[in-house]
Amino acid sequence: MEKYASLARSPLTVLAVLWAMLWILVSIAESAGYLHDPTIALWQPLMLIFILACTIGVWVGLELRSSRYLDLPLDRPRDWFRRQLRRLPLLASGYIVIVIGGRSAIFALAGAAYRHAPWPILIPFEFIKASLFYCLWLGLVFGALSQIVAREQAVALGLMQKALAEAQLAQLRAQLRPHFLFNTMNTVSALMHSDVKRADRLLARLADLLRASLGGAETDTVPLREELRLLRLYADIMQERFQGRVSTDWQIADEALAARVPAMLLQPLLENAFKYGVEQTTGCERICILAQRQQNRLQLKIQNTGSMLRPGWCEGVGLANCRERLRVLHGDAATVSIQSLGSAVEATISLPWDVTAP
Amino acid sequence: MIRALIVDDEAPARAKLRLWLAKHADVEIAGEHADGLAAAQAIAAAAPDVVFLDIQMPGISGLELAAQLEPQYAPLLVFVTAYDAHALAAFDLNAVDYLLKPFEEERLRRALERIRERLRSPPRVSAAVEVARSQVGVSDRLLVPMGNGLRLIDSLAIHLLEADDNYVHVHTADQQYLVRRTLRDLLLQLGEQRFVQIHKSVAVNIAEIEDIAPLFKGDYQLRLRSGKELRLSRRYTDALFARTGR
Repeated sequence: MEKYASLARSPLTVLAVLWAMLWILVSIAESAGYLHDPTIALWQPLMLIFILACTIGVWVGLELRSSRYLDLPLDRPRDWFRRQLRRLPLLASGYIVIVIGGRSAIFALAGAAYRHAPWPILIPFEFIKASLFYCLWLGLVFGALSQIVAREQAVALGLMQKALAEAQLAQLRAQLRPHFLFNTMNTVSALMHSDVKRADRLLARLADLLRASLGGAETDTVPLREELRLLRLYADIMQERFQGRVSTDWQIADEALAARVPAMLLQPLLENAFKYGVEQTTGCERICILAQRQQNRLQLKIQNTGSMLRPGWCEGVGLANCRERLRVLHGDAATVSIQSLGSAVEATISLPWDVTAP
Repeated sequence: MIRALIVDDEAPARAKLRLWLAKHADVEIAGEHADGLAAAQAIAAAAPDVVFLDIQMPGISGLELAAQLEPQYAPLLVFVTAYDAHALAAFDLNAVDYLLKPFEEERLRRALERIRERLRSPPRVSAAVEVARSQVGVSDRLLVPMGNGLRLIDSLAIHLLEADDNYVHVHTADQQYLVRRTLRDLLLQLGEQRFVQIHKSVAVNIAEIEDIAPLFKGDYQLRLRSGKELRLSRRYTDALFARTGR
């Protein structure tokens, strides 16, 4: 909650200033009543008000430390005022007791008797005065807090939007790495001089793949048929780039084609197979993609020769991204594992069988 | 004639460079290679004037390969890369030539113009090698000649480096390689944290030192784990003791 620290600090300053202004007002109102009485020196009512301001000030201050003002719902003003006004009887009674007791003491100090209107008039009068001051105070507090919160929210919203945009960009980057993009463009650029048709076809595939990776949310699912179509586009492009260095083998069970999987789920795994299996070696490697139904589960595998999991290897962004997306959709019901098979590496995904479109 | 070597692991990328370089009458293609090790052998064997060097390659990357070259004798290097923000910033800073994939013909023509200019001016220390070294850091592997070719050895497997004229004998536990480099330059590449000079012409792997015993006149006798005994020259004692904390 680090970013709310400034929120908790700045209102306290604002409230302190408002508090001082309020009590200057109260002082003026209180001392005005004694201007005609020569037996009372002006410092006496002011002293009373000062004591009052301090006493209630400490009380309110303690309340603020437990941040009750900050926690009440500012976005529901009626509720906010209702809950604040609940304390009015208590506050007003305290106010009346201190004010009347204080006045008696001051008059006694000046050697005079405290003459006042009859109690049935004095008490309601002071109660109304206390209520008016309290409502004025609440109005000021509400205005000040609302403004501060609105400002903080605007900042937080800006930060959130920025983070969201960055996350989306990062996702795009993770899906289609710049290396892939630029190298493919270079391949197209080279092919144009020798085989325009092939260059054209490659460009169309790249566009298809790019379009697919730009659309759709993290939680979108597609039939495996569609996922494999995109995967084949990617594999075709890579085979064009790494001519003679890779062969692919697709072992897809027909019934699995209808199963739904998160869109672009396998892409990072196939990318890894090329990155570690093909791009790091000079021989001809083999990549095998398998999909099959196992009772009520869908099993997907991507194997590649040419690489091994080194001891102490750790999971990269692609695999982590894949795992996270499955976790969001299926919780613990989906698993991702990766293992060495001699001189090959195999990534396996197992997720609940699902053919219903959302 | 400018003798050019093309090094890229993707065939279409090589084809494009070959096609465009062939249009220049003063450029002769000295060879094409698909990985760093083959390229290193070709650089040693054919001594080309310029190498168009892809950065991302299997085995040994273009930057790693460049870091293995000796700055005084390296051919001109033009790095070719798709995307490598960090290295590009360093290239720009040190006026190292590079081509960004996909590049247009005009860009290659300008690169060639600069190459002609550089080849006319007297030879100088290769900025490209220096930058590649700073990007790669201390080399974990060293390219050494082996039979008719080259091989990569783990730099921690090296026990001892012994200078011999313009060559250095590189000793591992069971092998000895002769590398045409200066001791000074090899130490810079392998990192002076791992290797320490004990004599004008000898440096050892610090991890291989077993024991140091005093001799007369401030000299020391140094024994390696392999049992080999060497004289530690007085001039280098302070540096060694500072490094080993004795």
